[in-house]
Amino acid sequence: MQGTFDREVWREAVEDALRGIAGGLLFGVPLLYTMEVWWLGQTATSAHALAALVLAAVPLAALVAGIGFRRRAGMTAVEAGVDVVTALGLGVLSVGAVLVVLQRITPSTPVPVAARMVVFELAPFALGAAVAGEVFARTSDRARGKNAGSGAVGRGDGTVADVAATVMGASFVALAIAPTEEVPLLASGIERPWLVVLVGAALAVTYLIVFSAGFGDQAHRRHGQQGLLQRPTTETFVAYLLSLVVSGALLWFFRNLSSDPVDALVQAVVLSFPAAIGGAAGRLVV
Amino acid sequence: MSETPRRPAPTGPEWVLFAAAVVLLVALVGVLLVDWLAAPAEPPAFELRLAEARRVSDGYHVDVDVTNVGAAAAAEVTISVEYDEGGKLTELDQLVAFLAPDEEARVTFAFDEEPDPGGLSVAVSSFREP
Repeated sequence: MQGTFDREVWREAVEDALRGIAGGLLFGVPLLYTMEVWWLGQTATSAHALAALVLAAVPLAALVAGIGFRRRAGMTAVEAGVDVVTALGLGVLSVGAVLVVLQRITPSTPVPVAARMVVFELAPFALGAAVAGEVFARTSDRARGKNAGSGAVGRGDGTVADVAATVMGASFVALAIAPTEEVPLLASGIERPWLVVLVGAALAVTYLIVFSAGFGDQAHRRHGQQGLLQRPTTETFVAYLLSLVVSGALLWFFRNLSSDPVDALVQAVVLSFPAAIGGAAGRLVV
Repeated sequence: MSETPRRPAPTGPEWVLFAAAVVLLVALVGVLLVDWLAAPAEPPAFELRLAEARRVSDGYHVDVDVTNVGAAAAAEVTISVEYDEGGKLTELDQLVAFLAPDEEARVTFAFDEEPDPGGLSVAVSSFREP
């Protein structure tokens, strides 16, 4: 009995952490693709970075006290402090991991430069970790209410809705990144084996957002939806491929796609990471 | 929102996650503090290494590796090569956009004829604070 209880408590804590990571990535990914922020790691002083870290914690504390990524009503100061520090720690871990996957941080990067880069990417991530649970729970509640009013959606309707939501969500996030110089810059700098890591990270993060992070009506997505893509792994893979196609199309639209087919594919893979995250967010609201 | 459960004070697992977060943040702040307090206020300084000329299809290329060995970053670092070919002086410049402390960059100068290593000299002629 005790073991069952402990498992439940651990499951809840891990789910909170995963929701924080997923929410942070949803809000923070555009800044992770901004070269001016990478450069801050090199140009800013460590004193400035320390001040920025303190400044980032202030609005985060206000948000956590108000809603908190653990959705704990009527928090004490200690509980809010625990949530703020945990959100910042999740941010350091996640932002650092993405910068490594994008090869902005490599073994040759001086440690203080890597630390400053993480600090400047941390602020939007931590805010996203704090608010995403609330935002997406509300959005999903609205969507569920809408579906309840209109009756059950058919198998084909569910598939079309998921495809449309993925394309819209992917376009929404990738539109802001596709015309920028960051995509060809990252594509030219990334070693080919790391592309596999990047694709794996996109698949893992999107699965996490839609099926594991406890956003909104996750149980409904896992078991209750109809449609050709409604097995979690199938949906994740197909949604990633759609995000890859959207990425290539947007790069072409903005004349930012290489004429070399291999380079073009690498660029699309680089953009597909934020696009897939946008697509996952889109499916949350269907 | 339909579900707003009152959850208990931080549970054991939440304290474990909190402790891991504290370790990460202490490490991050520690690195920044040490870098801030220990770093001397020295300007950028450069170390240059001139490689031997190598033959290419339309002439000769000479690589120059530049490293910022100072404590501060430098922007728009101009590397100038002077080649004295029996009294005829040729000067070539290359620009490196940015060099962080300990960062290295390679620039390449092109020559029509093989340059005599004794006649080549290289220096950083200008840079600015970023």
